Amino acid sequence: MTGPTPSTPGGDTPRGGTPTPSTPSTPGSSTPGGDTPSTPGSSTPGSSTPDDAPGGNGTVPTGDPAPGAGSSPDATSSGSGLSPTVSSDPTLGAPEPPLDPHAMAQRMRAALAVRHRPPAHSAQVFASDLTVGDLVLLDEVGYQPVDLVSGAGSASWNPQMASSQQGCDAWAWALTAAISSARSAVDRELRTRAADGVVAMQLHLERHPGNLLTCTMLGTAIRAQDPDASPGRATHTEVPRRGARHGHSSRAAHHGTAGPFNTTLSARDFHLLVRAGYHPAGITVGAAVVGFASRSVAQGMGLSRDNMELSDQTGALYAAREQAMSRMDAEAKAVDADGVVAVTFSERPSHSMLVHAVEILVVGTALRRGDDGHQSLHPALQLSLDDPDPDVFLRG
Amino acid sequence: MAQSGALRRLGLAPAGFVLGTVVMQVVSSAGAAAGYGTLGGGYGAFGTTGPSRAAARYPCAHMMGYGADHWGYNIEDTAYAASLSYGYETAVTRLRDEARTLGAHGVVGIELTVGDLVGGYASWTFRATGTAVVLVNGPPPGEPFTTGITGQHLERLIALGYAPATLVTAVGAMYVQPNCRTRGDFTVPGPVDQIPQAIGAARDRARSVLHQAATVHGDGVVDTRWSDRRSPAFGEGWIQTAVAIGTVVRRFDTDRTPAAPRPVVPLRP
Repeated sequence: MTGPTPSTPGGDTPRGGTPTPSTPSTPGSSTPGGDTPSTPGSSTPGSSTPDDAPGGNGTVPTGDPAPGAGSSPDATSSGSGLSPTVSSDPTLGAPEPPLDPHAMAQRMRAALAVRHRPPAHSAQVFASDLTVGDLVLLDEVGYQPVDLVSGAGSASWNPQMASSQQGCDAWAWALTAAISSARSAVDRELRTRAADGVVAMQLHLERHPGNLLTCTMLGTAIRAQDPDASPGRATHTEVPRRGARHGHSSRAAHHGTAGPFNTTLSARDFHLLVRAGYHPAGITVGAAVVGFASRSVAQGMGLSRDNMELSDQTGALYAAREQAMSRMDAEAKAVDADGVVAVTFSERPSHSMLVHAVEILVVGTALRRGDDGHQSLHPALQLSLDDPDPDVFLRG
Repeated sequence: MAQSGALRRLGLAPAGFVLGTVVMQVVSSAGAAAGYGTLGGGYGAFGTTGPSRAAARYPCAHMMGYGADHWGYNIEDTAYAASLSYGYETAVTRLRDEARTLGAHGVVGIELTVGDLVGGYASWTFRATGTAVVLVNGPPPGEPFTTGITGQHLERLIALGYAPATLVTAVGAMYVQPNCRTRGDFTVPGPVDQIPQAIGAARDRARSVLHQAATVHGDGVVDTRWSDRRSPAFGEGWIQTAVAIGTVVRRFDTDRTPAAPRPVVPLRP
């Protein structure tokens, strides 16, 4: 690959893989969708979780920290062998107290009662494609949803010019132009909404017949909450909020540059990044097309019986990768990034009577480290007693 | 199990499985708008400059130029979008009616599907399914709320201080009659405006429906599921649709229960 390929912790993780899988590990609400590694209760069996409470009328102490999770676990609980001491690491903190069912039932009543009042017709409404779990995670690092933003871009190219370097460059230009015009459309929408950026952006690349690429983007714009103007902060319990601090530092991290950021990283990954002291700088793109000479007629017909490397084609693959990666590097350097994560590769050979080329498109998210540097998240190791996925058995 | 436990903690008990279905004939209006089906009045006639309705025009990009029949047009397909949103909304209304007869306070976990179950050509089956819930020892039920959210996510929504108000379905549709660039003609390579404009216009229309519903019923829309579709239409044309289905939420309490998620690394293969 090209010289200093930027990498960050988790940078070698393929897209979709989470560097440090986290759950919105609220013991009361482990996400049901299956996209989250399931959290059976919390890791302290001593704390009664309302997940197991049938009927919802069991009283669960809310304010008390769970036994065994304090900074100095008492001798009885650690000596019994039944409640493993989770951690004496002060940075980890106590696990979140479960939601009080009585309070929640009262809130549900209030939620139903609000429907009998005339609607507020609020001027400033938001729209979001994030799930409730995502909203909770964003709220926790101090961001709120603003609006759905979208962008699209298309460009076409002439594949028959691939025999010349100029034609290859025009082809690669078209690939980049489709993505970057979608990106700048999203950027315009973010600026008109005074948003800080967009997370969990769905980026789709659609190829049409006739050498046409369409790129569409859609995601939720978010804005950092003003830490002073949030009245309902941390009133129920004394759980320390990270929100304001993260909102501040991340704001500083991306206000150093010109504009709002965009990323395909999920809200969960964004949450982890912000807590770890990073901030997305934007989507970076690299495209390259390298043509190669066609094989001889004898080779093409299978008359050549030598086992040999087709070095022209190997070379074309190498050259295309180098070019695409270095173009993406250049974009990342232009936004003053410290690294690029969640990089997707799409390699596509193009073969016909006239066209022999290899086309590579690289898309990733550039990251910038905040002023405070890397913050370790101290992830807790969690041994799940669930059966593993069936394919684990199938693989032996 | 976990989902029903979360609903129980909110004081909600299931009242029944409710369903709403409607079979619709879904037909595009854009053919007429583009001049198809009219005698001599279409844009293909000599001397005319294309559809007179509000349409974005994309002239031929070739050096010689061609007549207007070679041009591209983007026309908003209001009838198509209206019949789609009518289908979705009617299915939800019928589901809500079933819930009301059960005396439910709301319907959670609503799923909306579209298929071609019966009826053949241009006949679409819209179906809404969900679980009607009753607030135990609650006040007399009014108009039931509808939402696609359920279980622990609903619990967290209430903890955030938002009440579910209503399911909203938003549809936007554009009929695209492509010009040479849009067809990917390699003799005129370069940026293509028509496709992004069609996608953007369809999405804008759907988004403004979401905003309107949020303004009328609450404070915002969450959990929106988007789908962009491209259905073939006359000739090389197509209908670009954007469908967004979300839940309008209304703030009932500025007080919110904080969450303190902890990162974990599961020790599993």
